[in-house]
Amino acid sequence: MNTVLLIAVGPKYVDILIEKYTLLHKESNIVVYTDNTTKVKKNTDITDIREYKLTPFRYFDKYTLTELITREIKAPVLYIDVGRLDVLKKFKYHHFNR
Amino acid sequence: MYSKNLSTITSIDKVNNVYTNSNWKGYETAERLKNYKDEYLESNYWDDILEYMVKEGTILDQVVPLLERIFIFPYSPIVSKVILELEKIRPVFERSSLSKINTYTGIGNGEGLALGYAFSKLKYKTSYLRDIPIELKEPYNII
Repeated sequence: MNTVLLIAVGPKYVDILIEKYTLLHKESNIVVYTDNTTKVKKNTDITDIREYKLTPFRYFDKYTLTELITREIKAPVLYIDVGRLDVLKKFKYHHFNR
Repeated sequence: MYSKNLSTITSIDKVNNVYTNSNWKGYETAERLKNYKDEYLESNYWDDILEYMVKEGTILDQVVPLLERIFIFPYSPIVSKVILELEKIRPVFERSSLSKINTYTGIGNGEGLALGYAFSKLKYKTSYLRDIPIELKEPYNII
């Protein structure tokens, strides 16, 4: 099962996440960092939701958080900007760490 | 533009490399970012950052500004080294985004350039997502 990191900071990106996260393969292990954990918990079935405390978002944190999770799970991690989730309509990635 | 048909995928292997999503369109290397001008950024936005890179001994022609909207990090010590390089240059990017005119809502835009810089410093060769052993639903174009 692949692990995917999504970061949703700010109302616009939280809404996009809620609307489009189901484009991810159902067997993916999704990790979300967000500044609105309550809303994400209420509107998705994602179980690993973590608080992102800095606003506005620091773009370099996409790297540090991805690396953090690779060390946590000892496996590769796919990062996708929530604004780019539509790309998943074109390809599936969920076997990349077989 | 690159396209690959499903039939060309013959094997699915474990990922042990960094995969990114190509270079910035029209900017194969950081050298071309000198005297930059567009509607999203203040003129010469990158100059301070490029100056820092040169001061650090980097050859700008060897730094590839990378698209970072989708990427894969493997579980590998090299990624920790990449992070260390990124943390060194991060203040330069964040200072520019706070002090110069730009249209980005977050802090530290241009992080794909920073990623290319880190790889250049480490002399680490990445791969593009188009080459990843993924399964494709249909012919897939990556711009």
